[in-house]
Amino acid sequence: MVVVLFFLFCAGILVLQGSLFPLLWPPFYQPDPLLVLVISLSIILGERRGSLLGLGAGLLQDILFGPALGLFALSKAAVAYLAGFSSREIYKDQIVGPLILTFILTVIHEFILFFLINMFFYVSATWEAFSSPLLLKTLGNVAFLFIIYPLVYNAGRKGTVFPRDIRL
Amino acid sequence: MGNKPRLTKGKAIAIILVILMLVTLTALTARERLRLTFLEKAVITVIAPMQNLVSRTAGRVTSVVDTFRHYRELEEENRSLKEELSRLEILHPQLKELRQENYRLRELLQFKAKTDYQLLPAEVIARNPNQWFEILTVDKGSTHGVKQGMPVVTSPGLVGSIYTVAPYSSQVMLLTDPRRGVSALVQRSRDPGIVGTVEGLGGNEGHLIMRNLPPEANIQLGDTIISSGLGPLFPKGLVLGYVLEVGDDEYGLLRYALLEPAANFNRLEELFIVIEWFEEEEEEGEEEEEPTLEEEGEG
Repeated sequence: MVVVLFFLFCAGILVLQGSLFPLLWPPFYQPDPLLVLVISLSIILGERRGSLLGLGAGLLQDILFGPALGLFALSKAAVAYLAGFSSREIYKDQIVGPLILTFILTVIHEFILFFLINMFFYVSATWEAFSSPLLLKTLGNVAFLFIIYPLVYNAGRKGTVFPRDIRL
Repeated sequence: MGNKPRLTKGKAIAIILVILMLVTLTALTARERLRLTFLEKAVITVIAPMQNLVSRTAGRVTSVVDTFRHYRELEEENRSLKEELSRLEILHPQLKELRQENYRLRELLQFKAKTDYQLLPAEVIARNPNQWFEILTVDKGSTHGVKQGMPVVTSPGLVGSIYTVAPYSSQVMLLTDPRRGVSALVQRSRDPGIVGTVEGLGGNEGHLIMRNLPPEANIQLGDTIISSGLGPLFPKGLVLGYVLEVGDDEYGLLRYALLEPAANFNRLEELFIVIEWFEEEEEEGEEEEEPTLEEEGEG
């Protein structure tokens, strides 16, 4: 259930990110709600399930927009694993912990992308180009967290969407 | 808060293996791919209609909002366009006359064919949300006759080329993507060079840079840069951009030029895919034809 819903959500978010967001934000400052969804789910579901969902979401993004397969899959799976791994250190029923995690993990996600792009593509991804839009992008993701995390958390509380072993 | 998570040896090995697998996959698929896998085609085919719907709806809403926001500007623009139209109406007979004269002269010079493009109109339905790669998705694919590598243009100039093709959509790699290179020359002086990389990647400017210009290159600010037609990808004469700045490269051996792209890459909505083109052929036997013109002119 959660997997089917997750991929439908991912597809919907990616359609919005590709077709609607370019009309609302300049290309370099667009937030990444798919990343926020992956982080939120990993906080609730833990690192193993979270990283698998992150891998799936990243692969979907790779197929739709990526210049290569594996680029977003790796970055999103890694971030999801870290989110799940750190989630035991935070209070899940309060937004402060997920908020701080989203802030840090967005930076890590962008850094992983920056590293992979410099490694595998003929792109001179400069540090300045990486760092200058980062703060606005991160704040955009944090703003999306206020919408996405409560939805994910409440779905977890109702107990109909997630597996039975998830207790919130 | 819960128990401290433990990273066992088995888990660590599994994580390393997954990372290695994904890194290898990225490395293998990072080069330009000729074909999409069945899964990729299936996913793109299912999602393309949704992208089309959202893009069209959002485009219409934006257009209505823009109309209200810029009502005064539009009124002013309408007035100036009407004035321009009446001016052009006066010019029209003159242009017709010049066209006929051009045709007669071409006939005299015995040009075999003019440059001619077979164009397929396409609409932009999505844009890569990542800042590092300049890739668009358009609503035409292999069922419409689109093939990988076909040039993509707008009325101001060249936009890029087809990167990957699915049955009902295709991805376009823009000229501003640093992986795209186009052989180019200065329209005024015909100096050869290469156009391709974006200046200040991520700096929002989206400029192009013309590299490998010889030190004696005759190039000035404002010069128009066009595709040279060398190589099989792009036809000759498509406008790439206009010179903003000229300088020496880091070794001082060659020169470069910073270009303002002809097309506005931030507001691409309708494009044309060049399905086929017929290059202009040189006149046959220059030495023989020049006297013909003189003879005709004198006659």
